[in-house]
Amino acid sequence: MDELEFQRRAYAEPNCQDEGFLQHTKQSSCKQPLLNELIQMDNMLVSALNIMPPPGLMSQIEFKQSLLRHRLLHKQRVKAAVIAGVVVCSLILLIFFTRIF
Amino acid sequence: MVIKLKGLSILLNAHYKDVYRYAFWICKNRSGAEDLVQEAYLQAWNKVSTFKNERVEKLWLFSIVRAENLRKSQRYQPETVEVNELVIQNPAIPQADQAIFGLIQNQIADLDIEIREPLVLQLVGGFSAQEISSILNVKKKKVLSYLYRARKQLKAKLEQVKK
Repeated sequence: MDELEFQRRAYAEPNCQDEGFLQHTKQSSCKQPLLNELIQMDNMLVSALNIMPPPGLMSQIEFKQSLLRHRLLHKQRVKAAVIAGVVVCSLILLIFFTRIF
Repeated sequence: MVIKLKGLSILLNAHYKDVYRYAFWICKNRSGAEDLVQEAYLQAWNKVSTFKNERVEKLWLFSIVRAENLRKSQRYQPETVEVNELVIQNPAIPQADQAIFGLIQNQIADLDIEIREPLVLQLVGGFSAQEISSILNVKKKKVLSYLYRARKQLKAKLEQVKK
């Protein structure tokens, strides 16, 4: 691993656990400060990125999902009712016509 | 139905904070981020039948947020907020460090979306370069190059601020 490759890897993945990368860092002591600096910067970046979602977000999602679930169940019930209606009507018509003819 | 609800509930509890953070950092808009998260979870509810691998589901959820953001940004460009305000929303940050973290947030927000997005996916989502490449639909080499550029720029900017 040459210097350029090390730099590329260190900046792209400071916490890289690749055997070759780790060995290269151990072998040359001058590499460790840069890596430590990047890991430290990453810790700061994570803290800065970790903004808190609004408090009601989870309940809003759950509410919308329950609404969706309710609508789905309603649709299924309507479908079942229509099918049952068609079956009953067909039976009535069948009985009616068999009695006439 | 019960398995589906249980799976989704696990998905919701485990990842909604990270999904929100990712959504915010790609659209830089709080209400936009909320919409993206809600939409992603609704789509997940519609499509998911069983949950087998949490890692895959997480990857999939982030992909939905990304696709939804792309779809929305093609229609209109929402107004972005001053990111500096957001530091107040993170109680984990001590009062003394709020200014510096606000500054870092602005530096992150200023990065091009092309290099900001993989960085957020790596640091917030905890994804590997390979996983990021599958979300962004680009080669792993390109992802590594984006990550390199993002950190290089941020380091230079932060050093400038320190001076």
